[in-house]
Amino acid sequence: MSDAAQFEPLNHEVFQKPFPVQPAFQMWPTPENYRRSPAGKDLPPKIKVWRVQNSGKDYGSVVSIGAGYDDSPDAEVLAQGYNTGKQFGDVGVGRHASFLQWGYSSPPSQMTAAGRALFLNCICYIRKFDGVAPLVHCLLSGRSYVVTLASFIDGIKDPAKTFAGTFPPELLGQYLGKHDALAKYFQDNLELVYYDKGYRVDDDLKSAGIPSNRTVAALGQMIALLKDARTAPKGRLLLRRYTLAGFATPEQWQAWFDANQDIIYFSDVGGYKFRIVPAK
Amino acid sequence: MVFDKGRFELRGAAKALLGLAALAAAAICGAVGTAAEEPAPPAKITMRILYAGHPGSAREKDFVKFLGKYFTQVQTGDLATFSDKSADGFDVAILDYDSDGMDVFKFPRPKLSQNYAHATVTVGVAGGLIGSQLRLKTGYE
Repeated sequence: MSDAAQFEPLNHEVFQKPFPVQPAFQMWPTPENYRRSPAGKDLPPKIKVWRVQNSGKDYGSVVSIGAGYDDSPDAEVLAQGYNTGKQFGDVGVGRHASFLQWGYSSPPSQMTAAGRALFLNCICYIRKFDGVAPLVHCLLSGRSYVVTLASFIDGIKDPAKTFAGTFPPELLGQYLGKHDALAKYFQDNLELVYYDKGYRVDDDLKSAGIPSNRTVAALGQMIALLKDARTAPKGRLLLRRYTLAGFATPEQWQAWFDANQDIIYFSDVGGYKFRIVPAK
Repeated sequence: MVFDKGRFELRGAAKALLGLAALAAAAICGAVGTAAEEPAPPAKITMRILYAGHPGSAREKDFVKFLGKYFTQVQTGDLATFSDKSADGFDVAILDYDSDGMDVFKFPRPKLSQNYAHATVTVGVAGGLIGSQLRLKTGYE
């Protein structure tokens, strides 16, 4: 990551108090690496950035992977990092539970005034999360990152070995030499990506007419499959795939869903599962 | 554990590929911007800050001097020996390290348990590595 954060600051208290963060904006060239991902493909030639520090280097600071960052309610992106090596949308400043990562490398004397104000605010902000443990730990990658990885299968020696455990062998065999097609396959089916010994598209879900595996409504649809003997086996398969719960009857599943639907979330990085925010 | 293996393999692939991109990155940043100093607070913020970094380093002095202007209590510690208990008695711990020319991937990695939930700011590469070690979204791969 370089010295800057990109885009306007969020309307978030970490940019407002106790010190107002007043960035000086500049327009910098859109890094070519951003074009690798669908989200960054159509960005304009220049994007709005603001300097956080003055290291004078285009490297040395670090971004966290942005894909899946906000898929659990215990994490938030606070500033995207302008970077020339990773992905568009990767995170310069972010929080997960009681940890706030400040990805910029310079000490305060090399930060800009806006950078110093944000750093101070981050210290004050994270105090609120003292004692808050993570709801999920990173076990897998977010689905948009899977699209990016798919686009790399032809760019490395021995992809079968490098991508073992990332993509199923049959999928790699089918798409070697056609990385753009594999990336498109995952992008076109983004709502159906899941993991089982490799990232896959869920054809079971697709054939059941359920358009996504990560919405609460989808979970309700999976449970509804249990209520018809013809579709019940598929319902059981999908609920095993996407939940950590296990109930004997459709009524029990429905009662569990009804009781928790307001606190259910789906996390890619936490294992492509529906989870429940535990009671405090 | 299947998930663990999957992530490990994925991250391995990602590292190999994206590392190449990082090596190829060109310096394209613009000129250094200037901005007014942030206003000093009317009074120091009543918080106890622990800065755990590289003891005796210029970087440690830089951070401590700055933090001391804004917070009522700032103490230092050693990242290499930081543990679950080190932040007891502090409101926020800041975990950082001065590379001093060393390979950043050889930074000390404190042995923190999964139960560690103290309010903590992690900084730069050292912070990203701590995040990865704890399998946090703040990690760096």
